[in-house]
Parts: sequence; structure tokens; C-alpha cells
Amino acid sequence: MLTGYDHLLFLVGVIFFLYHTKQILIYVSFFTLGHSLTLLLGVMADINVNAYLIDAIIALSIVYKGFDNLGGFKKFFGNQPNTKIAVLVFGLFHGFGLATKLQEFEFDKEGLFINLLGFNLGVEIGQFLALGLVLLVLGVWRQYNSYLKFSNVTNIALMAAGFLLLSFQLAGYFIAKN
Amino acid sequence: MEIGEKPTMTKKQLAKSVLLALFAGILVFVVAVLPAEFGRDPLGTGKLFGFEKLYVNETPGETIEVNTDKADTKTFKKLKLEKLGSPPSVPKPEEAGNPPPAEQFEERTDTIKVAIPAGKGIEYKFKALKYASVKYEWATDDDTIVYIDFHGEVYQENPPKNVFYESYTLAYSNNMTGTFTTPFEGKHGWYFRNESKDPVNVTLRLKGQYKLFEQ
Repeated sequence: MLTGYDHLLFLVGVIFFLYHTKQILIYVSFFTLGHSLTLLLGVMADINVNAYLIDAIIALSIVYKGFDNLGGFKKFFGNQPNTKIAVLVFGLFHGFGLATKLQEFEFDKEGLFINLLGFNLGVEIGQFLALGLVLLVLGVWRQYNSYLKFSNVTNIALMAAGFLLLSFQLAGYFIAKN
Repeated sequence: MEIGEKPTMTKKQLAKSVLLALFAGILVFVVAVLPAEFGRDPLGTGKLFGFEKLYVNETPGETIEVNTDKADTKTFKKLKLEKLGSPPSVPKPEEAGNPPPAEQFEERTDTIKVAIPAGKGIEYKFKALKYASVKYEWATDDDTIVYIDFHGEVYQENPPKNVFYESYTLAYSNNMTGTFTTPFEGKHGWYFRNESKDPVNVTLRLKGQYKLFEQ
């Protein structure tokens, strides 16, 4: 399954300004908690959410994170939404996204919960591996001045990627592409 | 968030940045993604850069004619032998080798409507003893093509977590009919997956030696 780049982009945004391992772990745990909850709930309760709309919200979460990283909320609204809660809430949406994708593969209800746990674990492992790679690259880059110099550019690019995914999902929703 | 020396921007710069990001995102979308993913090319850039070649039309819902046109076979994923049944790690239960009963279930006929929400899979199964004969016919009401896995599970007193199943037929189709002799006692039926954007109704007709599950 070659999806998940949207989740990773969001995580890149989340960890962009996090320098301490402990903080990264806290934020990633919030994200994991959020999407595990809705993944399990979504599949077990067979909640039917339109995949395009959920993916559009996930794309929006990337835009949000880029904007947040640029300090947009402080500048425009005077205060920043609680970032931990925001990560948790978007984690919930990301979980629904995964659930919707998983339901397409769903076959039999028997042994579903165990399979789900396995799937979720697989998602986590994949995510941690990818995250490790991202951290490695960011870690090296952080040693150079260009990291802060280009942080605005990077976050604008992140937002652009979010907008791109957003238009992609909305087009998918409105143009009947199956 | 503890942020060290995070560079700050003025409101104006921020607004510009958002607009720039929006513009860049939509530009890439219109120039590349729209032609490649949706087959629409408002600016002619798909043709210019060749993105349009990436477009694979996957829209079901039209009446298909059975033909051997190469372009048509591209529409759906090729179904491979390896996709049949449960994974090889799940053993076939011993019960599959049980002898057939002296008498089958009484002959009956039914017409069943199965509604499949957009993007979802639904199973419909009947019960039958070993070597029962069942005629079936199914069709989608609006000719939408669905993915089907016609399969059966061996009856077991204590079914394990990972249930063994045998796929009789995998296909993309909007209609199918046949006569079927059950290879073992158990649940047999169809997994229908609707890969389109709209709900699909399947009408299933059965005639033979089987029982339906209580609704």
C-alpha cells in the first residue's frame, strides 16, 4: 500500500521545530493515539466516511501545520491553538482515513480485531521507520545555518503540498473518479 | 512548542506565503495532476509535457461489451491465481473431507437484493451441505461493474481465528450465472466490492439445495 505520504508530510510539519527526542516522542504518541483510536473504532463500528473528504481534511492538516510553523496563528489570531490537542485531533482524522482504506480490503469479520491490531502495528512500524529517516535527514540539515534560513521556504512548500493534496482529493470527490 | 530561534514573518509576508503556497499547489494540480489522474487537461499542459499518458481510465459504470480489445482489459487489475482463497498459512480443515450426506437441503428458490455502499465490500452467503447443487444468477441493477469473490468456508464445530476459505471465482463483472456443486459443507457465497462512487444494488437469484441465513 503506497499511501501514507500525506501522514508523513503532516509528521514532518509536526517535528520540524521539535529538537528534543522527548518532545518528538510526546507529539508522535499523541498522533498515534489519535489515529489508533479512530482506526479501530472506524473499522469495528463500520463507520462509513467518504474517503475523499477524509483525505481532504488530512491535506488541510498539512496546510494547517505549515501555517502554524510559519507562526501564522500567533500573528493573525494572537494565540496559537494548543498544538498537542491539534495533533491529537488531526490524528483522529488520519485514523478514519486509514480505516476507510482498510475497509476496502476487509474480508471477513472473524478475527477482525486481532487483524486490526496487527495492521495498526504495521502502520506504526512503517511510520516509525519513515520518521526515523526523516529525522536523520532533518538532523543533519539542522547543523547548518540553511535549516533556519530555509525553514520558511520549507514550510511554504509544505503548505503548497497540502493545497495540492487538497485539490486532488476535492477533485476526486467532485469528478467521479473511482 | 519550544521553539528556538524560529524566524518570524510579518502579517503581510505571511499572507503572501499562504497565497504563494496555494498558487503553487493549484498550479501543480492543474498542470500535472489533473491530466494524469483525471484525464482533464484545461491548459493543454498534459499534452505538452506528456502527463496525459499517465492517465488510466478506471471509471466503471458504463455497460461493458465483451471484447478482447487491449485497451479494455486495462480497465481492471488483472486477477491472479495467487489471490484465490485464504493465505497458504491457513490449513484446509479436515471437515472438508467429510462424506456427503444422504439427503440434501430441500430445493428452494430465492431472489435477494444486496445493497453495497460506495467503496465498500459486502458478503452474502447461503448454507449448503456437501455436493449440493445450486444454480445462481446475479446482476448489478445499473450494470455497474463490481469485484466479486465467489467462495466458501468449510463448516467447523469450532472455527479457528483465521478461517479457511476457498475462492471459486474472482472476477470483475456486472452479471454472472452458473451451476455450482458445493465441494464441502459450509457457507458459500459472494463477496461483492463496489469500487465506484455510488451505491450499487445487486439482485441475486438462487435455485437449489441450500438454506438462507436468518435475517
